[in-house]
Formats: sequence, C-alpha cells, structure tokens
Amino acid sequence: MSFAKILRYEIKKIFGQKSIYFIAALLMAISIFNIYKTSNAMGFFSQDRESNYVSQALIGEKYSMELTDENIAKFMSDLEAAQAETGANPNEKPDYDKYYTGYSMGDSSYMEEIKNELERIYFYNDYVVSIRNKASNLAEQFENVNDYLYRHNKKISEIYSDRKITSYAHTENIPIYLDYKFSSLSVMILILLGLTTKFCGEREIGMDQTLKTCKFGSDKTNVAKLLSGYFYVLVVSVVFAAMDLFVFQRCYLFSGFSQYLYALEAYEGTTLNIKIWQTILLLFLLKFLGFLVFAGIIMLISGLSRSSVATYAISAAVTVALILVSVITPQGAGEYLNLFNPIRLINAQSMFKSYQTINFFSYPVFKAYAAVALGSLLFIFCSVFTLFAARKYRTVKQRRVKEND
Amino acid sequence: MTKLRFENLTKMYGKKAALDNFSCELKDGVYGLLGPNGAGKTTLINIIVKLISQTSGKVFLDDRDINSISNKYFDNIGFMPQYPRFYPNYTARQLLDYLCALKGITGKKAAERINQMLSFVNLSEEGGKKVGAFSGGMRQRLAIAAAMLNDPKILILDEPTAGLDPKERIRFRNIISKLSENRIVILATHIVSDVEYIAKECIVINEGRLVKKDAPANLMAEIRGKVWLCNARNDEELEKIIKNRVVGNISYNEEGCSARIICDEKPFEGAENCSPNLEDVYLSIFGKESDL
Repeated sequence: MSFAKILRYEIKKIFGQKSIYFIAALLMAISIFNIYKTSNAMGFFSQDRESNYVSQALIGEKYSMELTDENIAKFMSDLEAAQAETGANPNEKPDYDKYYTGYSMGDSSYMEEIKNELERIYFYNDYVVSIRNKASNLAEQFENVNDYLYRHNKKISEIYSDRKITSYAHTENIPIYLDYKFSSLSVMILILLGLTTKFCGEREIGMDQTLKTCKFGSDKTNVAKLLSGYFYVLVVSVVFAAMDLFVFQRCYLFSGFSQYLYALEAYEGTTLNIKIWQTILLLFLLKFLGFLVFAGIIMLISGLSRSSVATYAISAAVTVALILVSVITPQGAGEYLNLFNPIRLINAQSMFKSYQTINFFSYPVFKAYAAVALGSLLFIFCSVFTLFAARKYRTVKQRRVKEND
Repeated sequence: MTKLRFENLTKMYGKKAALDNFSCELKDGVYGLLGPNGAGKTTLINIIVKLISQTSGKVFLDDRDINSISNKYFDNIGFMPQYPRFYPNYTARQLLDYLCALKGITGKKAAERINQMLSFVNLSEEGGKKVGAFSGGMRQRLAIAAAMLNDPKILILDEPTAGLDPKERIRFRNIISKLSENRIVILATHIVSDVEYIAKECIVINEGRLVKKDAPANLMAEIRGKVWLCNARNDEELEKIIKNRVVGNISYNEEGCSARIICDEKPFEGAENCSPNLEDVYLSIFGKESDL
C-alpha cells in the first residue's frame, strides 16, 4: 500500500516536470515535419498526380495478391494493356477515372516497377535455395574439421530453409520506417531530461535527509525511483513508436504488414523468419530494452552524483560517446564493444538485415542475441548498482557532514 | 518512558574525532544540545537518525542497540534537519501525504494525522498552498509537522529556529514545549535563549566530548556570583575593562556603556554582581578571554 503510493509520487515527480512536455512536443513536431518533408520530397502529397506516390500506393494495393499463375497472368495482361495505350494518343488528356495517375504512361511505369518486384520475389526463392545448398555443402566439408564453420554453415542452411514469398504487397517503403532514427534520438533526449535528476535532485533540493530518516525512505524509495524511471521510459517509447507508425503510415501509405520480413528487398538476407508486424513489435521491444539500459546508465550517474548540472554534463557526454562508438567502430574490435552499447539495441534493425553472428567458443551466436543478453546484463547491473550507490551514498556524505557540524 | 543511551560513542574522520567517547542517557523531556561549530552536535544527531554510523560505541533505545533494530527504528524517530527544504511544487498537504507513505502511515490514519498536524502547527488554511510560496517560519512549522507525523518517541530538531524572526521563534518554542510530553526532544541550537526557556536539561559538548549535562537552573547556579555588570563612560574605559576577560553583552546608553563580564573575582570596584543566564553559562564554558 505504502509502496504503491511512493511509486505514484515518484512517477508524479517525473511527469510533473513541465519542460518535458515542451521538449516532447517540440521533438514530435520536428519528427512529424521531418517524415512529411521526406515523403513529400519523394512525391507524396505532390500536386502533380503523375509523380504522386499516392497513385503508386493505390496501384500497389490493387495488385496486392497471392502469387498464383492466374493472378500473375491477370497482372501481366493489365500491364500489357496499359503499355499498349502508352503513347497511342500524343494529345492524351488526364483521365483519373481510368488511370490512377491520370495517364496510361504513369500507371504503366508503376506497374513496371511492380513487375520488377514480382521478378525479384520469383528469383528470391531460387536465391534462398542456392544459399541453403551452398551452406549445406560447406557444412559437410567442415564437419570434424572446423567446429565453428561447421555450425555456422549448418545454421545458415537451417535458417534459410522453408523460405518462400507467396504474395505481393505494397511494402516498398516500410524499410524507410524501420530505419527511421530521429524518434529514438528524441526518446534518448527525453530520458536525459526526465531522469538525470532522479537521484541527485533529492540531494540538491535538500530532501535526502528527510527521506533517509523515514521508514521507507531509503530502499523502497530507491526501488520506486528506478521503477518510475523505467515506467517513464515505457510511456515515452510507446508514444514515439505509436506516433512514428501512424505518421509513416499516413505519409507513405504502405501496407502488407502480414508479409514476411524477408519479402522486403532491404531485408532479403535477414535471419528472422517472422512477419513484418512481428518485426515491428520485436524492434520495439529491443529498442525499449536499449532505452532501459540507457535510462539505467543515466540513473546510475545520477545515483553517484550530487549536482544535477554535473549529472547533465556527464550524461550528455556519455550519450555522445555511445553514439560515436556505435558510428565510428561498427566493425572489428569495436563490433564486440558495441554489443554492450545500448545504441546497438536502439538501432536493432541493422542487426537483422543480414546474417550476423559472433564466434562464441566455436558456437555461432547471433549478434542480436548477444546484444540482448549483454544489454539485459548491463540493465540489471545498472539497476542494482544504482540501488547500491543510492544506499551507500550516506557513507560518502559523512565527510561533508563534518564540515557542517 | 523512552530512554536513549549513548555509550562511549566515537566518530572519527581520519585522525580527528568528531565525537570522542560520548556517553550519556536521556529520558522524556526537552534537551538542549549546545556547543560551538564543530563541537559534534550534527555528528551526534546524524548517528541517532542513522544518517552516518559511529566508529565505535553504541546507542541504545530502550536498552536495544539501534543498529540491531531494522527500519522499524524510524517509527520512533522524527527528524527536522537544519534549514528544511521540500519540493516547492508540492502543496503542504501533498508533501505530508507523501511523507506519510514514506513513514508507513496509510489510509484514513494518514488523512487524520495530516489534519491534526496541520492544525497543530497552525497551517490548516495553508494546506493547499504550494510549499515554494511558504515563508521561512511557515516552512519550519511544516517541517515540525512532517517530523511529528509518525508520533515519534524521539524528536530531533537541528537548529529549528535559525532564520526566524522573534515572533516566529517564540511561537516555535511554544510548539516544542507542547511536544515534549512523553517523548525525548533533542534541540540542537546556537541560540541559547531558545534552550533556556524550554529545556529540561542542557547537553553541552565541545570537541566531541560531553562537557556538561544538567538543568539550565543548575548550570546557572554554578556560575552564580561570577557574572558582573560593569559600566564604562566611554570606549577607552570599556576597552580597559574587557581586556583579558570573558565578555557577554555590551550595551550603550546615554551615560556610556555597560558590559557583562564573567569572572570568578570582582573585576574592579564599581562592578555589580548580577544573576546569570544561560548565555553566561555558555560563555563561561566556551568564551575565550578578550575575544570580543
């Protein structure tokens, strides 16, 4: 009962900071404008229907289909008809009832793109088979010769088996959404603003003595502080994820969430055999874990510090360092270093674009698994150490007490 | 009756002892904790409220070592730190509600206790106001309400009247007097007059050691006949009088000036013996010769 109330008050302390709402609104406005602007530059919302991606989306939606001989034949027949009409009338006037773009040429050029995509899908099945066969052969060669390479190839042949794209959907722009990073940066900024003073703020205000001389003012309050911080991370993450999905969907008009992830050209080599909506959920969970780790680091710094200005400065420096490490050293030794980096989890989609493993005692372990495991460990470490630091802070403080005696 | 006992309490900071074999026993009533800066008052208080731990020695509450008592120990403690500061954006009622949760007081009992305490410190009408808008005196009263929420057996007030105007100070003293029934109130202060009126006993410490522990009347009786009122016609004469002596208040009037001097012998022929107050006691212990 008491703990629930303490937790409520700790949550209120975070959400009572008015600056958070102002900054969140500003970041959301920038993000929405950014998504709109990028989509507009690609032809969305264009006044010129000939270059209007809305038409492409409508055509894409019309031909979203199971890849049966009948459906493909129907599509090819429509394409040929559109192509036949292209250029037949040099004085062609826009006809929006007959053509999505208003012109036969506009429609046929988009249909040509769909045809290319259908060809890619068709050959993808062969591509996967060739990878699987090659991996199986290599696995046989390395058996009893090199354990790691044997397991590595065996794993490839397992992952890429039973893969087949059986339908087409208008998913071309989904990778733009999956790769979008500004919202992640926004969430990190809000974590910095919301949680930097979580522990040191009490010392700065002068409430810490009052808290620590209450029955539940130490351990329970510190746990409530951590939980409230993580709850804040959840709220901010959900708000920005929901906003991204909504705004991207509105601006790019993509569909086909029930397609497999590997149906996307940018994710052909992905190790995930799951659907796009499942991937969106998975990436959200991984990002959330990354944000939790990041929040854990920020609260640990706050737990060890006395002044909020110093905590802001150190936290900002740590954030920049984490981002730089993730950008500067994605390969080599830095690759291993980055497995501890929460930015890796926040930017998790990059780990799923191709087959990426690390050699762990001759066992191929997916980098994503390693990042999740190490991220979870780091999260637990930060949480426990923050509680420890907040509890032990009084020992550090003893020296200062004397000065006030 | 509550009993708080200190047994050879020592607290070292490096080689310096902030508390040095401090031993004494307290029972219900107000205790004035007196001593100059660095005497060990705050160290003693911080050990009682477990903000720091002692290097050696023990503190017993009703014959139980406080370090062997779990967090329940804080059910017995009400602590008002020096210059109490609270969340400025909380109302007084919200703050007390939050502190009730921290002290494990919930439900109707919490609401009742908040009303009682706000009424007790005469802040009922200000309960809905933000703490940031409170004056120093109101904040001190709110702090004592906060410290008293759990109806503690031991109430510790660190410099509670610092920064208060005389009216607020008197008001505050009266509140403390009311609270001293059935509990130990430890009042650490530099303002000796605060203690003189309300303390059952004064605990005088210096350099971490217990110097005296007695009722104010007894302490004053000890220096009876040693406090002198000396009149001087001008500053030069005053200079001669106070030179190498422990000096109390100096006041100026139309005929010149007068000074309270604490010394065993009559300092000069015209000096008049006067009745001592607690300030004189303090000076007799800590006042250095000619430090004014």
